[in-house]
Amino acid sequence: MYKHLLLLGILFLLYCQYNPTETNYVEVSQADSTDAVSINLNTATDSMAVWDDVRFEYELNSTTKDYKKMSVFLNDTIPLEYYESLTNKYIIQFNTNGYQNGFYKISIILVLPAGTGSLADILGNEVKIAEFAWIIHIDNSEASAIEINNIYEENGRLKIEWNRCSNANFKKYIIFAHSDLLGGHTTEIVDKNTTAWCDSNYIGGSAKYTIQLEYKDKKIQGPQKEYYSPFIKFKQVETGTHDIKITWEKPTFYSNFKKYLLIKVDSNYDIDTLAEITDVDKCQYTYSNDTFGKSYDLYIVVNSYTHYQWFEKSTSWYGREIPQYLKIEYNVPNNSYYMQSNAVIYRLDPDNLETLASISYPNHIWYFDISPDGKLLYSFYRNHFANFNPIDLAIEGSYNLDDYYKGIIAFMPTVLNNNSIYGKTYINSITQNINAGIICLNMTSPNPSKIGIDSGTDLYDFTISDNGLYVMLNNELFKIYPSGSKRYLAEFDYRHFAFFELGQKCVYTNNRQIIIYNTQTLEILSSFTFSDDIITPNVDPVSGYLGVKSVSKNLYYVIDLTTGDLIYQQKINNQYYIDYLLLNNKLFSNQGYSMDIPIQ
Amino acid sequence: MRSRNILLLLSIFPLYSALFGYETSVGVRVGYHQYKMTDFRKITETAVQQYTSHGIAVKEFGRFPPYFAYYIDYTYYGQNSNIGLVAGFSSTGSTIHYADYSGQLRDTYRLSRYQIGFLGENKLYVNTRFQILSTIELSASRTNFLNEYYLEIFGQDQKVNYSMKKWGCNIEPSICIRFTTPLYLFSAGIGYELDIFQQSYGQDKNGNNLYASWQGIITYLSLRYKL
Repeated sequence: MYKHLLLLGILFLLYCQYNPTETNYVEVSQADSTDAVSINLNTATDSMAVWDDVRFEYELNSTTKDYKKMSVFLNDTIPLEYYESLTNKYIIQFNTNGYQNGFYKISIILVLPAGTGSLADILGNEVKIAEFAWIIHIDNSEASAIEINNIYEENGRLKIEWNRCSNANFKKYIIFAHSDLLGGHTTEIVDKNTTAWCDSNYIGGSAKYTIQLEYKDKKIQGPQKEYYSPFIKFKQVETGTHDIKITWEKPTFYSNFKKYLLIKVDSNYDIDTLAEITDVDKCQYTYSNDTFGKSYDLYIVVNSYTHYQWFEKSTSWYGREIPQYLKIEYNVPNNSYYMQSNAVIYRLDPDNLETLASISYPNHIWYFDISPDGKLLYSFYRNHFANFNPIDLAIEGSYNLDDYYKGIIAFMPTVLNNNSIYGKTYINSITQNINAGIICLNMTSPNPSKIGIDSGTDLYDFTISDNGLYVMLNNELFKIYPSGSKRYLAEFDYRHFAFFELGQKCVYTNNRQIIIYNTQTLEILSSFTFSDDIITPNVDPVSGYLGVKSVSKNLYYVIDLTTGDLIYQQKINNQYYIDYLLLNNKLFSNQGYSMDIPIQ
Repeated sequence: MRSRNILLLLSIFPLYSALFGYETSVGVRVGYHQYKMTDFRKITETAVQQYTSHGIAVKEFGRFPPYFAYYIDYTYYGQNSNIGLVAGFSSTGSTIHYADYSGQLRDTYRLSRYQIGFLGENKLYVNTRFQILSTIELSASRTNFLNEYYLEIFGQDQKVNYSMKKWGCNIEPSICIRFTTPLYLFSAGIGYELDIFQQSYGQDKNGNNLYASWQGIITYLSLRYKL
């Protein structure tokens, strides 16, 4: 019997293996609550209209950054993806195109640690839940163009009204305003509920307005609406014994008024400012200390105090000198874009070299033409918004060529944007000798056009279809080529220059070469070659010297055409848009200044 | 198949005794065994460091302490020396524990060894009722490493067990005194167990092999019954 007990004892001992059961209980304070806690999410706004690839950015504060899990839902059911940017901002991005228009809820659910330090807290089984949500308005709808309902004067300003855009995906209204006086400017309005805007620049004349609506990622432009109001007018010019009283109308758009500027221009084109009047209601001025016996035209000049001028011819006046120009200054927009072009008009008389006008106009391109009645016309056009629209001849004039029988009229227009020249023949330079019946033109003719030229006795019409040097000689039109032939020998680049010298010589230049022809026979008399490219050559009709501008050096050369010697060189501003003219031993530029050339 | 061979082997000795009239006995021995377990102590030490670094203030208990070992033997008694078969079981381990109001974590490492081998006894001194003997045992062993991971959070528990078995071979010299009666033999001894061979349980991060080292001092009491 005890043998069996011994065997059982042995088996019992075999199963008495080491089995540690010690415990380590740690007292830890329990969490107060496992309810939701508030978190600080910095979204741009709580509610917004969204479309297409909408993108929300938000930041987590220091507490919530330790989240264990984050979920983003649309309407509590549709999971949205999010990612963390390099700037530690969280970004939710999704495309709304698949959703119907309406209001949706975006919610962020954060699972945060309880913060007790217990085993369950550390292992993520004891947590707090935080939820943040905001409403968005998905609007994928298209918008209709905004049409201007009404344009009218209100309190001295021009007011424009339109219908409110009802789309939630509205971004802004952009008002394009263009007037002949001010050019173009734009105004952006981001308040959807704004349905009216006052043009604080308009003072008169024709103006066109268009409203462009920006919504979603699109733009739609409404129809253009035009408004016209007459400019300021003279009421009366009363001449007394020793004074002249001028009255004019108060501007309709007086709220945009800056000041009246009274300018006197005499028959020699000398301009004097007589008075500045800042009181819009003071619409009269009395000028004394006048002189008699001169003729003049009377103009109203509307002028901004910054850049822009505008002329309106009111009436003609003869008998005595009075202030001929009335200049009105007004506010101009800051966001207009213009380029600068310059023109200087000189009249040369062998006994009296004088400047007719030196005019600097932004964004204006000068044009010259000769009218069928033998008058030389000049005018300019304004280029705006890539449309080459002629406007009223803001400045125009005419000179009867016969009035300058013994002289030369030289024009030196400079246009920065040559690409804008089209539709009319653009004459780079004109030199002419009325006595000889010769007009020498250096032309740029992008399109075939017809031009009439008065040689001094008869009118000739001819058509030019390419660029080059043309010579009207003895009632015949020739095209000149470098060899001296009157017929076609080679292409003639319009960038080369040609001009005519008084007497019996005709000069042609290409990049570095000058060739002098006999104007009767077109034989080559002599030629010269320069070391660098030359441009804007002309021959001084008084001295007979040739002046040219170096392309690569800031130098102006004066050449004796008889000997071919370089007799003088002058340091100049060699920017490409500055042209020079050598007249009566003086060097003139289209920037409106002149300098003496000390040539014996 | 293996157990049948062992039974056949064990039956040889009684048969031998019956045929040739030698004296035999069966006995039971209880020892108290120290274990070196250097590698496994490092394993649990690393585990404690990892728990602590995650904010769990665990404590380790045991660290593979000395523990009881149990043996049975069958011995043939000769004129000056005795030989026999011996089988034994020994175990040790360590447990890592943490508990608070939210739950508890227990990570237990347990090593259990079964061994079987031969024993030899040499009589150094003999009188009528008292003997002094030197003994040696050579055994092969099979050690089972068991890792029990238990986690309970707010009443919900999770258990993960992982085990690995490896072979080993040990030798244990000892010296004992013995009191004899006509039916029983009472012995008490002290010895030292040496590792001859141990299979590796893997490698640590430095590429060193990890072994379960059963080396250590053993004291024991033995009771044998003469057949």
